[in-house]
Parts: sequence; C-alpha cells; structure tokens
Amino acid sequence: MKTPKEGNDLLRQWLEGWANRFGENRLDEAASRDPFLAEALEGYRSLASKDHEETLHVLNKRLGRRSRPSISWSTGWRVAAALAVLVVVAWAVWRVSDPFGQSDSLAQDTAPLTKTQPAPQEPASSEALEEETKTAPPIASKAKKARPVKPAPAPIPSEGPVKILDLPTAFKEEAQPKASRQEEASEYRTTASRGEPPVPAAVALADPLAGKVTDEQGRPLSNVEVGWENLRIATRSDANGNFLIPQDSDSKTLVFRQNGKTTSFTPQQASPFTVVLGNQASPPEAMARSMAKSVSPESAKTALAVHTPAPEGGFPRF
Amino acid sequence: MIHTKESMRFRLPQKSGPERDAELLEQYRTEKDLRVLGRLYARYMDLVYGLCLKYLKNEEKASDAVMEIFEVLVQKALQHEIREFKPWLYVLAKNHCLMLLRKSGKLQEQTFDPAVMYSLSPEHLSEDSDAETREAQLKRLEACIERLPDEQRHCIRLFYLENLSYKTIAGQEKLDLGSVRSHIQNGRRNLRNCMES
Repeated sequence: MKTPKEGNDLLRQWLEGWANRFGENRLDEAASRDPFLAEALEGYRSLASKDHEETLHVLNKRLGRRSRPSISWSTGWRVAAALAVLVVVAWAVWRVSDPFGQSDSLAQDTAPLTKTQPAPQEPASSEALEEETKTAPPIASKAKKARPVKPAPAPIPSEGPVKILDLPTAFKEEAQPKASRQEEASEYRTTASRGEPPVPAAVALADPLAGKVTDEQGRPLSNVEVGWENLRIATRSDANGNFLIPQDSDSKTLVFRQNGKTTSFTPQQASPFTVVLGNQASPPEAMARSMAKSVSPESAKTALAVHTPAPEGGFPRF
Repeated sequence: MIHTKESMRFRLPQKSGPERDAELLEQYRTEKDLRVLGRLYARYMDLVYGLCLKYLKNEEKASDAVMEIFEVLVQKALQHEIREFKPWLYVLAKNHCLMLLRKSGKLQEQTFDPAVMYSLSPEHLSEDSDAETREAQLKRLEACIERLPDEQRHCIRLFYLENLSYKTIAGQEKLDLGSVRSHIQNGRRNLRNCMES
C-alpha cells in the first residue's frame, strides 16, 4: 500500500475516507506545517457532513472542459479568410471556363457604337432590361452585377402559337465569314443602337442555328418555311436561302415546306448547314396550319440581328 | 474492476513536487496550453476547494470560486514570475476568497478553532503530564465517551479505539461518509468540551 507523505496525498486519503485515526493524526501534523492545508482542512471540517468527493468530481470535470482546447478567434478568422479565398478562386475558375459569361461581358465591353454614338433614346430592349432589373428582387440585381447574365434560352411558350422570325437586313446581304462570338454580340449592340427594330433580349442572346435551303440543283430557295417539328418556333429563308432559327430544347427535327414540297432534317452538328428541299411526305396538318397562320406582316417586323454568315466556299452539304 | 471516483479523476503523473510544478508552469508559459495548466491546477484543487469552503461556507460558491481562481491563474501565470507554485497559489486563492467576501460585505475576522483542527489523540491530551494524571484523564475521557449520543459514541469508538477508517465505518454502519465524518467530528468536539468542563 502506498504510504502518503505529502499533505496533498494525506488530504486526498482523508477525503476518500481511507484515513483512520493515525492517518488523521498525520494529516493534522502536516496541516500544522502547511497553512494552505490547514485552512483547506478547516474548510472541509466546517462542512463535514457534505459529500466533498462528489463536488470535487464535478469540479474536476468542469476543469477538464475548461482546459479543453477550443477554436480561438484568430483561428476562426483564418478559417473564414481561407474559405473566402477559396470561394473567390472557385468563382474565378468557373468564370473563366464559362464561354457564355465571358463573351457577354466582352460583348458589353466591345460595343463601340454605344460608346461613341450614344442613341438619343434607349432601345426598347434596354428599357425592357431596365424594367426587368427594377422589378427583380434586390438579391437578383446583385447577382446580375456580380456576374454577367448567362444567355438564357429563348422563351418558348409551352402551348403558344408559332413564332415566325424574319431575318435581318444584314443577313440578306452576301454572307461573310463567321467571326467570333464577340463580334456577333457587338454587331447586335451596334444594330440596336442604330435605332433599328429592337430585338427581344432573350431571342438575341439565344444560340440560333444557321442554315441554307436549296433546291435539288443547289439553287438557294427563298421564303421557305422552316420550323421545328413541335411547331413552336418557325421562320423563313431569305433571298439567298439562308435562315436562322433559335434552338428548341424540346425538338430535334426541322421541317422545311414550300409549295407542297416538304423536307425533314435533323441537325447533327453545329450550324451552318445546307438542306435540299425535295418531295417528301407532308408534315402534320397542324404544322402547316400553324405556320400559315403565324406568317403575318406583324411578325415579320421582328428582326434578328445576329446572323451566321456562310464560310467561304459555301456551307457544307449534308 | 470497480471504478471509483478516484479512478475516474483526472490525475497527474506520479512525479510531483516543486520541480515538476515548475516544469508544468514553464510548459504552460511557453505553449499557452490550458491543458497543461489544468493538470497543474488539478493537483491543488482539493486544497483550493477546502480553502474556499472555509471562507465562503457554501459548496456552490466555493465551486464557482475554484473555477474563477483558475481563470485568474490563466492570466497571472503568464504575467508573473512564479518561483514556488503552491505558496503562490495559496495567496492567490485566499485573496480571491477575501475579495469575494468583501464584495458581499460578509468579511469577518476568521477565528481559529483548535477543536476543529486537532484530532483527539493521547499526545494532544497529555503531552506534559505524568502517568497518574494521564490515567485520570483517560478515565474521565471514558466517562465523557459514555455520555455522547449513540451514533457519535459508536463512531468515536470505531475510529479511535478500533482504528477503523472513515470508509470502513461507513460500510460497517451503513452510513454515508459525510455522516461518519460529522459524527466523529461532533463527538470529538463534545468530548473536548466535556474534558475541559
């Protein structure tokens, strides 16, 4: 058995109840030499009937909890700073890898005419955008400022009438080699600032398909009705047989129709492409009716400023 | 294996003493690790709690004071050059308790009660008396023991005449430790009063 020699050990033995009268005598002797022990013993004896061991056990646990290392403020700030840096880096990486966001912001930066020749009045599309910004919630506005709006797909009514998009004037001219997306966007801004009919923002920002319609001899066919098979979006080819149609996520097949001739075509790769209009089975009657109904002078006013000129040597033939 | 409270206590390594205290203190001052200071403080927590009980006379207040003293220690151990930890802690703890008493307006002169401090032992009773006087004192003591209340008398006999520990008496008499300690302490006081009358 261990022989306690120090006052602390004697006191511990006494508190645990293992001291007999000899142990108590030794404790008293030690207390007579140690004022700290003497006062402590006096304190315990003043409340002799209490279970001091239980209290000391609780105190020991409290001390253990207090002594446990915790995250200090400085560590917390370091973690917060690291997280902030991580978020910024992640945002930057995502931003760089996003071609649409980049092209949009560049397009805004490289709109020369809007800077040098400010239009007397804001185009309707800008007004619409401003109105949209005003009505948007504050958080959404901040989000728009923080990151250029990613081009949204063209708003397509689920069951609405077919929308006919006529080609812009520029598209009727001789096709030019396609430049970068920045130039496309810049062209759009330029067109808008000239006071030409405004283009709905959503349509202008869409990624349309460009193509050309020819007859079996390869001659371009104008005024050919071009529409997606689900009848929701349609347009017409221009004098050179060129057409431009927004993509439709719900439909993959284009239907071409003119003077009873009908051809279906499923684009397999990026535009531009050439389609030969031949004799095929007629599309569904609903398609024909919708297309005929939607072709009106009012709908022809909508001009699409974005165009995809044919590359030199013509479009690839499928 | 029986897990007693003692076995669950967060104890320090066996090596103890001023040198070890100084090492722990130096380690705390260097690393500022509260676990190190906690280990050092745990060694003296029995003493600090007893001291706080003496001055505050209340278990809850004494427990809170023990933790408050640790908080003071956390700061002061870094600020002060401490040569001997135990005496320094004694002064720190005592001053803290006196400050609490001053704040509560209950600071009174503490009187030292020898009856509480010293156990009833033959050495204390007859340090400078001859054999005859000693014999007379023992007879008188026996008479005084007989006049004690039953529980006190029983516990006093077991503790002083049969040399049993508090814990053994508690187990034997089916009493809790505090009651045994209280009976022995009160019986001792009554015996001293009886012997001095």
